[in-house]
Amino acid sequence: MGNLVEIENLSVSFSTYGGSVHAVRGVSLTIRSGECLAVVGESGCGKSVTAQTLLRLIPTPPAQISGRVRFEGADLLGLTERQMNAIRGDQIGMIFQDPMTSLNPTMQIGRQITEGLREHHPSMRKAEAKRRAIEVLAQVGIPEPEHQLKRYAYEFSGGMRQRAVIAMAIICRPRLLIADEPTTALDVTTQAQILELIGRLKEETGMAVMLITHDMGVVSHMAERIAVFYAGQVVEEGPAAEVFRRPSHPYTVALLRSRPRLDLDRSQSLLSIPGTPPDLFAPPAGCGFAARCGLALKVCRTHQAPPFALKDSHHSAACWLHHPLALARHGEPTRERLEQEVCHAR
Amino acid sequence: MVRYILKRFLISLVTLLGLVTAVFFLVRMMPGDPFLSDKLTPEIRENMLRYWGFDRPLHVQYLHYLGNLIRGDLGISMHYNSVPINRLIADAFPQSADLGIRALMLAVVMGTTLGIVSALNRGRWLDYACILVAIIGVSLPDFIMGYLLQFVFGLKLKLLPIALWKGFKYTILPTIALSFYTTALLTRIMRASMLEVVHQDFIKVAKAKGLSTFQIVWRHQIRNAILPVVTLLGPITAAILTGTFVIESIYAVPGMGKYYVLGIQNLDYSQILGLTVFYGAFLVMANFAVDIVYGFIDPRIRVDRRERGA
Amino acid sequence: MEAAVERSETQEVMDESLFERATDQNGLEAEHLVRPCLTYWQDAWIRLRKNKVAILSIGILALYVAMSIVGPHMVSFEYKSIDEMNMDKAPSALHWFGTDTLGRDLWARVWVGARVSLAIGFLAATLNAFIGVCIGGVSGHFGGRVDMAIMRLIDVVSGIPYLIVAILVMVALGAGIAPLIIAMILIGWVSMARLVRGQVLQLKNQEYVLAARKLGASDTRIIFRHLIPNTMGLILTNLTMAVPYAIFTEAFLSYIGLGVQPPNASWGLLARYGSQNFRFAAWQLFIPSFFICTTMLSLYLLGDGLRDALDPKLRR
Repeated sequence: MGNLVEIENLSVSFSTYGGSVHAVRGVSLTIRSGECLAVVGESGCGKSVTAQTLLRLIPTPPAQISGRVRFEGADLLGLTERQMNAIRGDQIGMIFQDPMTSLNPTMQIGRQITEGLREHHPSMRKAEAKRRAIEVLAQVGIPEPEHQLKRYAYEFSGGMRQRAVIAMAIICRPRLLIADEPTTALDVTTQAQILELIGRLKEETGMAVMLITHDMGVVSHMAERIAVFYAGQVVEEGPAAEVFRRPSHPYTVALLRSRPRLDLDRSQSLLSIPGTPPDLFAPPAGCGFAARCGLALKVCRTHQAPPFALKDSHHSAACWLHHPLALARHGEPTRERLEQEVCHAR
Repeated sequence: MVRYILKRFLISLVTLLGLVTAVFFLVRMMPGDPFLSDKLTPEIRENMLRYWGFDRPLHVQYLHYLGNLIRGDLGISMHYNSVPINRLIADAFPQSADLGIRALMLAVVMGTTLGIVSALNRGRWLDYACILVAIIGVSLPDFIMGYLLQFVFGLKLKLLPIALWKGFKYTILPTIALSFYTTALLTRIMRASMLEVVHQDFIKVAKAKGLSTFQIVWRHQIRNAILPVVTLLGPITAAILTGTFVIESIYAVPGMGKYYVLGIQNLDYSQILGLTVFYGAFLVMANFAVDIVYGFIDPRIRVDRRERGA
Repeated sequence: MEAAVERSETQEVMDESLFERATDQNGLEAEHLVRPCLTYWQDAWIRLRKNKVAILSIGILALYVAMSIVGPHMVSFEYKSIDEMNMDKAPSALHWFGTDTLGRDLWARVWVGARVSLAIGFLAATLNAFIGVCIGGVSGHFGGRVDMAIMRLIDVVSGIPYLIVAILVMVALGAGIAPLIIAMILIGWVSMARLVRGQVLQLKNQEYVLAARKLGASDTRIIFRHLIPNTMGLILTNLTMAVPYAIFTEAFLSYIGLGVQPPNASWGLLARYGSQNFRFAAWQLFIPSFFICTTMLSLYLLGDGLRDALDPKLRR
């Protein structure tokens, strides 16, 4: 499988009254054709900004973007607006967090679904577009699709709206679907349905999915690979099974321990990670997590850690504990040790 | 939708009734009466009062008036010997309506356009120019604007006629003077509304679909941004209509404003009452029409306004 | 143990001592707050102070208020004293703003008029706001039937054209300052009531209000400690915008002869008399007009500045 998306050393900062916010700081990522990459991290860690940069939805200025974003070999950051518009919605579809506000309240659902299609296929006739819209609505599981076209967003429930938003995103059969926290605003049963739907669509159409979430639980079923974001950087990346089995960055460990699990006995309380992420107005010189990390070394305070490849070559963690000198001195940071230290320190 | 229209209609009726009642009793509270003149002997005065029905109890007069109103009879002017108010209106209203509609159209078209232009060029000189026009416009009462235009374009530059109502050239200054405040108001509102809508998620979604900027602005942004302007059409119509009083007097336009002001000065009960009820009914109807239009533009409103906490 | 650095750029030689445990276990405390803690109002005031236009507006308004107090005493003419020898004199070293048709000094009249115009504007707008906040707050807070009844009342009242009612009240009660304020209050409270009600409806279901209720806070406490403070920004902004409208209404009513009566003066009244001879004595109209406009302009600009300063979304 070839790489569909290659992000290299991407940095995004926003100029505001109070100075510059460095939202994304040197992120490198790849998404292969047809795979599902989960991007995990807490709010404000730069995952959404990274995704939106992929579609160039972030206006510059006030944002400043550097680095490289390749989609099927083309550098998206270098394209003209017109060339970019040809990719948006056609090659890359996007779903946003809140289905309540993602739909235009004054436009019929059918028209909102077909407008992207008709934009990218100007020669397509209206009836054809309508037929395709019905097809897609059926595909996303909206009952009686032919009757829904003339309805408005306010007549739909949250889950139905998100299905409609997904229909809008996939109607052109994109190669990549970016789902930015697609289930956060929904209730739990609907969440599961929407995730299942995205998974099924991925299988059916062979598109790649970039699933952005703050919920590790969401990721485990769907993702083939996981990238963990913290303070605008990728701190750990690897195959989903590997990351779950052998989390190697203290933050990932803490993140995994902070969600409810059925396999732990009840006496172990949920971990909440103390402290707050660093202020991205003035990012720290060293590792962003150092101040919250029970295992922090001196170097962690002063130097940014590069990604260290772990035993299996596809898994890497940007943590000094994996540096040979640290390994020699403190031994291997196994999951158990990390868990103990990160959680014990509190 | 039918329920919504019915509800709005009922509210309009109650408003109208409230207005008629308030006006009727307020007019009767006015100090003095139309026959307080030294030239009239007490006997004639008595006869006059009886003739006009003022000797009867107030509530009987009120019911009598309502009865006439339902038949579409606004009464007879006391001052202009027995001219029906309906005739006065038929004579004067076309000029007032002509001026009012011109001003309303100009204000709506200019206001929304400037608001859109301003918002789309946010932070550039075009934006600042529009804001400047808007802020000056809302700070200039229309009677001052009327004189200012008359002074500059009529007296000093001698480009346009100073007053009267005899063709298109005569309409330009009064129309601008009457619409300037409203234009400015709408510019401000449209600009704010555009800027609010642009941050909504569905605009981002539209962009993610690959639509061009023009399509996003036209199909998604303006359509939603214009909603507050539509709700304001009622009050705006009212502002322009009352504005016609002074603008008509400044530019000597033969409209309703003259009769209204004369009616107040002469304490002509039936004339004030009739004209106010006419204005009131007109505005209540305008509000009703705006509500209906709004219901069509914004599908959400048809359900239930309380649901959205509006 | 076989782990290796993947990328070469950081392959610099590193001091082994760097790989000691960070000794100060108070890593968390190193994370002090960089920005100072400011209350909502302090923060707003700092941002308002940076807004030059708003500060200039405050300056102009303060100047007008000060001049309305000392202005009439700066000239030796009484604002009511008629001088038949000096009718319709243009502005000069003697009469700074000229004289009117009866030879009265316009400088004195303008600043005496400022007292009336500004007082009516601020008083009417404040009273309107007060009534509106009370009614809107009650309506939004209690909901149900109370809300229903008040909303219908608001629907009806706001359907009645403002100026027409003002005109009628003035006609019925007679011209003067008190009837003017009554006329303005009768309908003016509606927009504020609507605004406050909407805000309260939105706020009262927020968690902190629910929490306060569960902790046993009384209605009064919830209204005054939670709902009103959180609406204050909006109320204040709206109030600033309502003052110029009240000044305009006074000017309009005085202009059509229903407001302040001579020999008293207000800017609207001065404009009315100025307009009658504006073809040969334009200053009589344009000087009071200038003050009406600049006052309204300053208030609107100040309102804009306040809105920006008080908007929590812009807080940084």
